[in-house]
Amino acid sequence: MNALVVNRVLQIIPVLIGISVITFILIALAPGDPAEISLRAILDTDNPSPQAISLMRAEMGLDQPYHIRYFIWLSRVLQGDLGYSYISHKSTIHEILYALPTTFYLATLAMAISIIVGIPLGIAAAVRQNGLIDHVCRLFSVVGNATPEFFLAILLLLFFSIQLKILPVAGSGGIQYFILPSLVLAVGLIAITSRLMRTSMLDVLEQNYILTARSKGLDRGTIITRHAIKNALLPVLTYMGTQFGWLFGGAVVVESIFALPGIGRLTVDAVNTRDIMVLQGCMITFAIIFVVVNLAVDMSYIWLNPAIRYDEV
Amino acid sequence: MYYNICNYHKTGPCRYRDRKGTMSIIIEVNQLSVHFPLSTATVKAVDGVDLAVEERETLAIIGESGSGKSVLGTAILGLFPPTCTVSGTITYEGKDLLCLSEEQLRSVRGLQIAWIPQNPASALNPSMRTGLQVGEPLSRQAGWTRERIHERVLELFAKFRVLPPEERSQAYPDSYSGGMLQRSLVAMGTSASPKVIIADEPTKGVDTLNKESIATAFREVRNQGITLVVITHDLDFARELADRVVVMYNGAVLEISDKERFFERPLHPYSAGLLRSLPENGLVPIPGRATARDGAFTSGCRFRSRCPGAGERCAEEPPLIRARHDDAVRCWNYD
Ligand SMILES: Nc1ncnc2c1ncn2[C@@H]1O[C@H](COP(=O)(O)OP(=O)(O)OP(=O)(O)O)[C@@H](O)[C@H]1O
Ligand SMILES: [Mg+2]
Repeated sequence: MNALVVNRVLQIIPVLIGISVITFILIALAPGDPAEISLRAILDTDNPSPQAISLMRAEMGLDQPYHIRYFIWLSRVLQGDLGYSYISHKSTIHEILYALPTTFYLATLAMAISIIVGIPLGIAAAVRQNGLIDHVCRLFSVVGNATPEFFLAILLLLFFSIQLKILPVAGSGGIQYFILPSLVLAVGLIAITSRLMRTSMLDVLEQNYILTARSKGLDRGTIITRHAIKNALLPVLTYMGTQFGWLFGGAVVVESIFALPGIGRLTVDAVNTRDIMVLQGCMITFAIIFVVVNLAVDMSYIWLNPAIRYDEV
Repeated sequence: MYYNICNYHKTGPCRYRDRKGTMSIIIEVNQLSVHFPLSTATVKAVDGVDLAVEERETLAIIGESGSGKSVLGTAILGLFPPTCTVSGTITYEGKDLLCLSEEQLRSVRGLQIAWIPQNPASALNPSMRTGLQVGEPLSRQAGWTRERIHERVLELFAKFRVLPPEERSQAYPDSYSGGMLQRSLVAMGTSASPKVIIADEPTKGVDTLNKESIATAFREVRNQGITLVVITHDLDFARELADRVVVMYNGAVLEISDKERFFERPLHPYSAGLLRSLPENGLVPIPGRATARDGAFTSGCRFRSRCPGAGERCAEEPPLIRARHDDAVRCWNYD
């Protein structure tokens, strides 16, 4: 089992290197001169002077060949230095650490909402297969999956913030600023979770041990709560775990709409101002979160599932 | 999925029988049919079965794979897969189980008639401690606290040598060996002291040594005066344990014989074939293959196409004919 864990941890390294290379290439391929775009933001002018641009190019290292730039960046990263923002002149690490808690909070809230709503919905749909809840659940999952986040965000804003005026439109502060954004993020996940939970429940209800439970004369409610739900939950929670990283991705859109100062918004701003070091830092952060979340899910799966545990010893 | 009770297509109104004079019969199956209508053909898993189980006897139901043994066994608990159609009666203590409500059936299951499932590896909930599952039938009875159930489970584990009991009861099923799992299923079946236990293939995939320990466990159950219906492929196991033998083929009962007489001189040509296929009798296989699974059987004697002595009369299905003492056989040879 230890070999399995070590192996799994070591796999992270090539993944991170791959992601950093791809990010680097994408930034290099992006249209426009990063120095010029940055300067527009810094100097707040549409036409920065050529001298300023060439100075900026030197500062950003754009006069070096691509591969040299990558290795300079990589060696700095390995020393724990992610550079600094050309706009705010704060260190990238500072910017990211400042933004992360907001996104983390947002993603956790969205995850909690998805579990609290999606799992019971899936159970109810499976227990009364083809009943009213099942149909509602199916409709919801189709609509929920198909509705783009920005559209849903606007609908919710119009209703709760403009019409009812019970929630703030945008900004940050207390939990009231997180309700709509996390709801928007959660809808897609609820749609998937409830379907998955339904399938998983139906699958479990066909297992032999459910027949055994019935043969003991247990009533349906006991069979479902005592024998079915826990077994049906495992694959669904595993899947949801992997979606935690995905929520960080969804945060890019949602944070921009609701003006939440999280890492998604930081990334978008960095793209718009070609704040290259911050952008690369954000990308690496996303990658690490993804990889770590997946690793944690795999580990918990091994830990929760004795069959795998014994096989791999 | 065994969830929805299937649509019963009854042959007639519910029959409550007066069982005077036949008090020793505990379960009587009458013209029971369980059919699965598939798109291509109807699979007649159980097709017109008549069977009377006597109180305190051990009845072995033998027959090859797909002959309908498990479907018959679960039917006696009132458990049917969805999509099947059911007709006939199953009388237990004067009540037709097929006429009971789900609620009433639940009071029979586990407490009166217990089931020891086929395939122990998948028959227990993988995420629940084995001891809890073994004691579960008791939890439905008044006066059984958690502690009392636990004590009873430890007693049962000790009795059926699931050792050490305390440790085993706390463990999850996946840490059990096959034989031990089967013995804890026996413990589970007996836990609420039912009147009848139906055991499905208790020796499947178990080595000789464990088989002996399972046979011991079942002898123990029999000695408690529990009526046992043992479904098995295993003729040796049947010989060791049973009082009577029922032979099933393609969903029908071909022979019901006293154990001694069955192994001495089987009545049906199919039974004779089964005995000849035993290793000590030369491992002679029965030619051809059973036709129930593909629904090819339509009329006449089910065994006709494989029977060495099939004649013209066999185009018509023979009834169960009393051949000697109380032994019955579905073959024209005995008419
Ligand atoms: N849910 C179901 N849907 C359709 N057909 C079924 C279903 N359950 C059983 N059958 C069919 O009924 C027939 C009898 O099955 P059953 O499980 O009773 O056989 P068996 O005698 O117990 O065999 P084995 O020794 O392999 O356990 C088989 O042909 C099987 O394919
Ligand atoms: Mg079977």
